[in-house]
Amino acid sequence: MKNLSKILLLAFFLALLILPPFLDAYVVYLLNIICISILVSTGLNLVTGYAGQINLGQSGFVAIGAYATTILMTRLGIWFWGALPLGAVIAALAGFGIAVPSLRLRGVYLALVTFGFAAIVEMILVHWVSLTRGPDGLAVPSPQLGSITLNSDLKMFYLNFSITVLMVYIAQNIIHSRVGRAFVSIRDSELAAQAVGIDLTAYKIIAFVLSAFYGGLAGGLYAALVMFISPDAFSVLESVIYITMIVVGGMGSILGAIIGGATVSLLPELLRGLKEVQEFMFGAILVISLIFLPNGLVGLFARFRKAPKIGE
Amino acid sequence: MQDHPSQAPILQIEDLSVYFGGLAALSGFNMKVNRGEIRGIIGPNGAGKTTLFNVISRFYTPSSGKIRFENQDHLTFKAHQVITLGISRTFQKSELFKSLSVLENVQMGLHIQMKASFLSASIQLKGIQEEERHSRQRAMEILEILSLQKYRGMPASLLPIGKQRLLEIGRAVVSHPKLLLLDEPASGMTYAEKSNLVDMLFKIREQMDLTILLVEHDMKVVMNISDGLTVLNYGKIIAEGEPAEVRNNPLVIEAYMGKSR
Amino acid sequence: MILQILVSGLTSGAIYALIALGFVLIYKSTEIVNFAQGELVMIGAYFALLYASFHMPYYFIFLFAAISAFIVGILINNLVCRPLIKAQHLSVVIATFALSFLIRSLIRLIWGSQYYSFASPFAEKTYKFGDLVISPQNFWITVISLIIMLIFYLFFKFTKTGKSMFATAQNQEAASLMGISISKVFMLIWGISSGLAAISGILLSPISAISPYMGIIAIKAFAAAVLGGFNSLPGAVIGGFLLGIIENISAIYISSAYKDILAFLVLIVVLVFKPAGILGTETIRRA
Repeated sequence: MKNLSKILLLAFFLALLILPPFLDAYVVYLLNIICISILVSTGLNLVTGYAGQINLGQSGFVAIGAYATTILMTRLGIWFWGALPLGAVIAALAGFGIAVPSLRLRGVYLALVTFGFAAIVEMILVHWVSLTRGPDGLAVPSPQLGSITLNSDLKMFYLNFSITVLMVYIAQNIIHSRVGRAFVSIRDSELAAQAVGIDLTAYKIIAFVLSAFYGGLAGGLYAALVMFISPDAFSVLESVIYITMIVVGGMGSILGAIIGGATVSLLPELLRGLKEVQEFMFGAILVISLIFLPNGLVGLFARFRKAPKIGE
Repeated sequence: MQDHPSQAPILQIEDLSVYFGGLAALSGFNMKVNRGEIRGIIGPNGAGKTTLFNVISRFYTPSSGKIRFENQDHLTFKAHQVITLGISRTFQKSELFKSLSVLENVQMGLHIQMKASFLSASIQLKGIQEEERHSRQRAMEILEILSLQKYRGMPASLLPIGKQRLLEIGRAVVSHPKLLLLDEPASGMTYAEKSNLVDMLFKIREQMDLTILLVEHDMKVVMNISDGLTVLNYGKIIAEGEPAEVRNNPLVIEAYMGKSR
Repeated sequence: MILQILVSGLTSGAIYALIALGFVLIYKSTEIVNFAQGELVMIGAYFALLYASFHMPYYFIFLFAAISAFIVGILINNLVCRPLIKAQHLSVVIATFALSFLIRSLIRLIWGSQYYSFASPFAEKTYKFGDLVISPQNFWITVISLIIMLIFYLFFKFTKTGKSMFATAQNQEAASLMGISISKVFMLIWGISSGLAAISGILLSPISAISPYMGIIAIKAFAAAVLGGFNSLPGAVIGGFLLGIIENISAIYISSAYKDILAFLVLIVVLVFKPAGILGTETIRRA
């Protein structure tokens, strides 16, 4: 069974590498969106799924990554390949800034603070016109790789795909190390975690910073993909969508973040149109998933295999 | 009390008081525990036994009093530093890491002896993989001593209660602590499991030169295993001494008779 | 001058207190922070709008809207909270957050995003008492709020149902051992909390525009609850009035533009210096 799934996985990867030039342009665009969403949800999963710290502000980190990357390129003339990681680092710093004061407090306040953070970022994007050009938005220059300009969805796909695969691999490594176990132990029993020597605050901050970094990285890639960013792509609703991704996919599971990211990111595309309908749908899907799919889609599949699912 | 060839008591508690609101959970508590001793701490419910453990674990800070562990001022340390001093514990209500496997739970006991950071882990440095392998090995050894090895991959939440209690002990001893605090380890265990527990604790004490503080309601277990007993009631010590004398102490009998369990 | 500030502060304070009471009631009993509390305020206002379109007299509108919200609260408890009792605490928090979006977007779908106004049942003119200017609006809002709080207090102190609810809030385990039906109590708690939120929404309707974004006021009520002590019911009331007065003082002496940020500032200051608030107690971890 294990060999079969390895072969399938390999085949799947090969398909993703070979097929895109032959696929419809819109499908290629969607594949890009899926990669970027998986990046966001994987990061969010680390802090909320594994470490159990609710982060309702992921949209803020994505926004910071997108705008920081863009502004570093346009205002400071920094090369994309420098601006992208820098944008992610700036987002990570914001994550650190939020986490340090609020993680001493009860989890409840963290939820409020992260939500407030997302709302404040949205407000800043709109009002700090001298930096962000407010609602007018910013045009994003395309990354240059030697003589190649990554100005098409197809070219961006290969970039997004490689980065996503790399970052998921890294997340997997973290999860399977003592750091990942520490995250889970914080979620399962803060008392016992302390008794085995885990500094709760330090690890919560690490989880938060990681989540922010992943979000910021995704934001930068998103900016380069769509070539134009404006505040309405980074509203608090996006935070709801990201939470929905990990809930629907399965919190505390790498595969869950992937499945959730892939499926849920397609919904706004399918539901083009009224923002109210989107909001309602996401609210409803989220609530329904929480009640009926407590372990997400991953949990659903696990019920069909006999083996008990071990904390991945 | 068992006389250990070495020196000062490993744990000295002086005049400890813990107040919650106006209520004294512990009051004027004094205790000296010698290295290698197994000290039973008994008393009716609410007598302050778990509070004592929580102060030693540094979850609570006492209103007054001193604690010296291995001749260091214990109260200067934080909760997560306690294990680095060599003190491990189990909990009255099972505090296993339910989503982790049985093996991983024991591995958690070795957390501070490992070095992996999120950076070194993300790129899977050679040393990190070696460290992982080593910790898995040590955890397996403990599982074998506890006869839990066949459950190693199972989520800890699926273990029956008696085995969960045993697992928590495994997590506490894998790091070879100097002082082990056991909070009602026998609760939820079957008769067979309890006698197995007693044997196990003796064996571990031998192998690891361990000092044990044991809170327990099961009198048979406590009498069997303790070198000495400290009896608490309403936050105060009402008797102390060898099990045989303490059990006949009228104050102790009254304390238990007067309270419904 | 001071008196005027106090009096105007009382009106907004009364509203904050009502909403904060709802928050704390739910939190104290179920440990759930209801992110949708603001939307329940908004629902109250929209129910009022709905019943107003039937041209009922004010007191009927008030009553029906409050009861409708009460029912919504019960539905939320039964359909969302109850199934999640066994789940991680995280799930419930996310659920109330999702509910807030759900409710808001539902209202937008039905009524649209535009602002509605609600005819005030009270006379427009103001009364002067020496230097003091009082409008009947503000007067009645404050008085009605105080009456509601009094009813709330009497209910909890003297009725059998109220007492069992209070006991449950203090200690669930003991309450259920005494034969109190915890699940009925939770139902009532959500119903009453929603009712309280709705009443504040109804009281707010004449003085603030009705829109799907009304719920934002809950953040201020949240700050008020934290100020008073998040696990203290009297704290919620005191925090509410205190916040209302502080807001007014700062509006006059500092700047009215920053009036809204004040609640955030209060929140941050309290959380940093005394997280337990004025009347709250620190929870002690027990192993």
